[in-house]
Amino acid sequence: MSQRDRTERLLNLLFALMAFQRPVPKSYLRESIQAYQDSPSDEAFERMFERDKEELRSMGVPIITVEGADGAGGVEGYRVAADEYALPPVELTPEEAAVVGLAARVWEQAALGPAAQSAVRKLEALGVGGLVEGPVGVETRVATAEPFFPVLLEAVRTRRAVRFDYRKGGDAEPGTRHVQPWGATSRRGHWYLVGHDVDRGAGRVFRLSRVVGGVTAVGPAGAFERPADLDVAAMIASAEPEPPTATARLTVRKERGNALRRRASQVTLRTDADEIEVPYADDERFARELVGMGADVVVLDPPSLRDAVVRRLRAAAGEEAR
Amino acid sequence: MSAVRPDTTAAGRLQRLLALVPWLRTHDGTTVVAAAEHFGVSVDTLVEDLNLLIVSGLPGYGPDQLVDIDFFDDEGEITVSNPITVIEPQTLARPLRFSPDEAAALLVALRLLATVPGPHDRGAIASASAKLEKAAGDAVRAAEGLAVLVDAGAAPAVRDAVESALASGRQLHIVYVGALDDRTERDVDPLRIVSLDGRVYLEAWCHRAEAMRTFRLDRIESAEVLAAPVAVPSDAVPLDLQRGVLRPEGAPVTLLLAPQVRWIAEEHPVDAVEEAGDGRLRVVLPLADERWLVRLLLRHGSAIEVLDRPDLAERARADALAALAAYSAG
Repeated sequence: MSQRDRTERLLNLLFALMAFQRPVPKSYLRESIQAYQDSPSDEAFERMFERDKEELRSMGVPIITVEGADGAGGVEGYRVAADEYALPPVELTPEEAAVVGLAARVWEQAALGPAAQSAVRKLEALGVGGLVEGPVGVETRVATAEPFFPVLLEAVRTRRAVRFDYRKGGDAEPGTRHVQPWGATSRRGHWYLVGHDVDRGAGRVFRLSRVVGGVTAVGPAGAFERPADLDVAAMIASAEPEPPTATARLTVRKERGNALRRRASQVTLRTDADEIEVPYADDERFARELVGMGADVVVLDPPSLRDAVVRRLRAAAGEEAR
Repeated sequence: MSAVRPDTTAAGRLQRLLALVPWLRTHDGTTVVAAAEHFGVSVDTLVEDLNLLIVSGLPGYGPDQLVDIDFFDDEGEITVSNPITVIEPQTLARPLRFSPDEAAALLVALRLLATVPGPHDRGAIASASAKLEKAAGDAVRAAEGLAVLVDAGAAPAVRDAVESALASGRQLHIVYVGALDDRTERDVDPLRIVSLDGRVYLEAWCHRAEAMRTFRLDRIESAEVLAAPVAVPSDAVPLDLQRGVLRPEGAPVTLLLAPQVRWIAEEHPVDAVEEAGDGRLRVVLPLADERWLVRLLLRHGSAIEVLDRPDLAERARADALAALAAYSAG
């Protein structure tokens, strides 16, 4: 079946569902729509019809199912009410139209790009103008690289569980995870899945770039409830470094270490190199940052940080002493 | 919006047809070529769409039950400049309500825009969101599980100055610390705020570099609005946002990453990635500045192996030895 034939069939089904003030029995649809008449068997028709119905629903067509539409009970009928079908009138000021246009462009390189574009076309079909042109002094883009993103998004929306293989940072081999997906969140260029890890019985955060292969939805829709007090931002942030608990004393060469100087709680200027104090949380993490600056920075205190830096420098110098 | 390729599935085409009929009604007399351009499809595709519509309609499919659209000229021919008039839309007079994805796309992006620094109208974001939520009905629930967080990380005074300069069209004097720790002072003509994947940049014409430059907002130490109005040269080329991220340009380098530093391939734009066994990755990445790679090698020691630039590996070793000297002396 060609794309054109399928489009035509979906279009005629939609027309038939909207044609009357009352629900339409399935038997009527089979008789009146050419492509259904041509289907070789009842089973083939049923399959085709179910698929078409789901396709229209996924586009947002509100199809109502009614029992006993033939008056005898038991036989299903279907209907789309005109006022349920149509997008209500929307009027936007030029300023509102400009920000809605900006919003739609956010997803240009993302899985939601076609949906954003389609939404804009609908607003334009209502007569709203000014959605595409005009610089506003800001442009925002959020990309989605993962081909399984739409599957995940639909699972979040319909509250279906998902299964995927996941490689934690540092693990050589991925492991299978079963998760009730509460939401998807982008932060600093990465998309995260936040959800209930069924095997571990706890809320977890997963980085989508570490999912190996695809994501498969499993089980029925509406299988779980999203926690009412869910704070996705806090969950993702909890996977981040803790607030500073220690202070390092460092010497920094003149004109170097500018980023460090900005974080310093104290700066003492000297003739050759300056002495600064910088709050930090974790010896190893901070040592990694400092080592990148080579001879521009030297740790004076605390000894634990000094040792961590020296050990890393030895490793980088090829003097394996780890 | 032409950046998004047309959806060629049956559902995608149906979406277009359902938007096309009401759009033609609110843009009566538009031409075939203008409609094709608006919907981002070829003239041939648009004519096919119209031909499909006029043979479709309510069951019975008699003349009174079909969609009727006039897009022929007086000789019954189709030419691209023909005006289009919808005579009978049947049940397609108004656009279909928003799908959940459509509602989520607009509402989540508006929420994001409200948090992005810039001179855009915050009041308009709030009122537009309220109008769209009302129109979307139940579909707004699709936006619940989706969010984009932005960490501008800018000092409040810097953010105020940048927004004020953009709103008033005046130059800025900034003190900037670059990715490699270089501290510079520059006068710039602000063009716009660009927020890419959660990071926020000021895009501006830099008088010092005499070129367009992007400055990460969290690396601007201070900013002062100047009296002089902006004068971005007319031939200045703004950043191509299609590329999605700010890719460094430079000769590529090939690295072998141990399992504990696989994340490097996620954090930095790479030209190629492949599994190299035992959880290791072989990556090819563009190198804008050799000093950047030397820093990376210092930080991660033997976890990164440089496969094709022994000189850079040697430089990192020399830097490490120089730094160690300071400790043994002390």
